[in-house]
Amino acid sequence: MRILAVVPAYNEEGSIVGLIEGIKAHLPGADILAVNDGSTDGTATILARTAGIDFIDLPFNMGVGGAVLAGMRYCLERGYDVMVRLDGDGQHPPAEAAGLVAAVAAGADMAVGSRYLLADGAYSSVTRMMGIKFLEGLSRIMLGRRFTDNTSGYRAFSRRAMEFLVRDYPYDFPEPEEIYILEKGGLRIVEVPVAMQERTAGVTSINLVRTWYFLAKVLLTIFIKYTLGGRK
Amino acid sequence: MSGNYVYYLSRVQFFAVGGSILLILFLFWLIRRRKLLVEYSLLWLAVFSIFLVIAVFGGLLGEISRFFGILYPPASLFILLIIGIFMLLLHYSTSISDLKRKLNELSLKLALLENRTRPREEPAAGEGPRAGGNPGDDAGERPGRS
Repeated sequence: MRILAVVPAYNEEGSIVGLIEGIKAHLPGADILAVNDGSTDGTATILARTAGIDFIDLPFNMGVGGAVLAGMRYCLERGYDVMVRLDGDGQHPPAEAAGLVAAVAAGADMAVGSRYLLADGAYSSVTRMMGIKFLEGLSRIMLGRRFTDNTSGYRAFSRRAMEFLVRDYPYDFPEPEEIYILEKGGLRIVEVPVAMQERTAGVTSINLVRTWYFLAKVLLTIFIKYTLGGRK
Repeated sequence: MSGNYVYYLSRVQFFAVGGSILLILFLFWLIRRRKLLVEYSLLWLAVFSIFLVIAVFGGLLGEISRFFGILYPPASLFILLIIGIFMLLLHYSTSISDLKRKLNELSLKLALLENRTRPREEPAAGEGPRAGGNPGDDAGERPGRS
């Protein structure tokens, strides 16, 4: 089984090297692909100098979905069986990656790392908790199944899931929609409890405006694409 | 008094017809100069033609207003204008969406191609990824760009 760890990175010069070292240590059998999503800092230079990895340099900032999509297409082109995504900001601890990969190896098409399946999986803020709970309820209504961590980007994908997703992948905030695309498509999704970290360096790309934009976009997408007949 | 009124209307009419024709000619000029693709000019042409028709047939605006129950005929002109502008803007939104989709696709293809063709120091690996299990530090693994 050939495994690729994909690291989308946007301005993560402070954390990327540590993350890559962590992946090498915890997933020794995996190849590593870093995707520089149009960073304006030294991320690209650092990646070019890092030994033992391959990297893709997106020509401009396309959004994390663009970086993940590049990773998926790389996987499909080169015949990888499993892709695991670990964000460059270091909030996805490499120690948990093996569990996600194992879930896919055991037959799942997508393994979603969930912070909230853990007993101590605390919410970082009240607004975030409300958003997460809202999406959880929405998944229950729309999919008839409760997903506890719709926004988690810490995920592993089977080849089949990637083939399914690359057809029409969202560039912005792809995480909730991934669940809807695959679940409605009849693919197998499992949730795996994982611990996540606060970011180790850099700044989060989520602020208030983006939060509302995110919610509006996700809601609109879900209602337009997955109700009223929906798509296959 | 009423003569004055008719004179005023026809004066408006003169400018309206003239203006519409000028706009349509400008549109044609843009197409001839290849500054505007024909497919993007159609909606503009439709909007300008409606203005021309309304300008030529002075009573038409009154009829339209009566039909829709609009008391002040010039208001229906504004409504037509706004609908026309909205349609043009919507048309641009779809065009921009289409362009953005294509741009994203192109950029991804470019990035993947660049990754594939980037000179690598490792000798025989060539195509395809390295075998797993040796993510170590041997210098040959460095996928440098230069």
